[in-house]
Amino acid sequence: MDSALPSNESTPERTQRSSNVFRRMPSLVLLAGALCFVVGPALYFWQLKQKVLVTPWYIPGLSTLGAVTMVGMLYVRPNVWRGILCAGSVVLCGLEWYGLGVGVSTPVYHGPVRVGSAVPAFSTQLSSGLEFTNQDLTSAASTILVFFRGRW
Amino acid sequence: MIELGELEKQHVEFTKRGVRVIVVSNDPVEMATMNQADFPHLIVVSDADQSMAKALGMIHPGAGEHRDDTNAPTILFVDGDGTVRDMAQPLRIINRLSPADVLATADKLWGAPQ
Repeated sequence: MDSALPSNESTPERTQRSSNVFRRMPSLVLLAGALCFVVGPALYFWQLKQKVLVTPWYIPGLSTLGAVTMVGMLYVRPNVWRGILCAGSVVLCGLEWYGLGVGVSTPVYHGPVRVGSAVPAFSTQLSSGLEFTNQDLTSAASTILVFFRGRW
Repeated sequence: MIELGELEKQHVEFTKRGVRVIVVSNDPVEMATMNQADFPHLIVVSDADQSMAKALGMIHPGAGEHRDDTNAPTILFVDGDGTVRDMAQPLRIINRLSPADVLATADKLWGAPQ
């Protein structure tokens, strides 16, 4: 019980100190919040340079951090411009979560391909112009068939 | 073309396993020809009318550059007799199996090279 006392006493002091950061250095806090929105895409650019194609959850994660910072800033030092900035950051953050969570989802597969069954009949062409059909998959070694898209 | 480039880099490993890699897009022949030149160890299919993608149900409606239909990113592992042994579709269109994952799946299905 005794050990809890100093902690309880120091809580208001800690709160005061943390809100002082918002009061004393509003520009710095705003800059830190804004940076969170920039660092995510920059990291994703670097990730693509490393040729790693995984979901960049850190983008909305960092934006959330940025939005929380903006909201904290608005709470401590409210004004119209900070309100607009704060609202914009929250909307952007929401869009990023929606975009990664829902917007780039691959549609659920309902096609005819079944594991253990033959590849359905098709006919198309190779880059050379020669015909390419499902029969070409039965006359050679194992095949890895990659349906790709995009330019990245 | 990160996906194709990373697969191309692993061509020695695919050859060791006796596996060929066929890549399919709905690009016209001219673009597919350029891709074939860039990635000579892959076999590039020009499925410009999406006849193959439609037959196999690999269409992502309205997701193309001009809101047209495009391919849903998918990898099929097909035996020499034309039987599908495995199918991998990422949860998100921005994800892909890494070449290491592709090779691991191939090894699981067809055995690792000696």
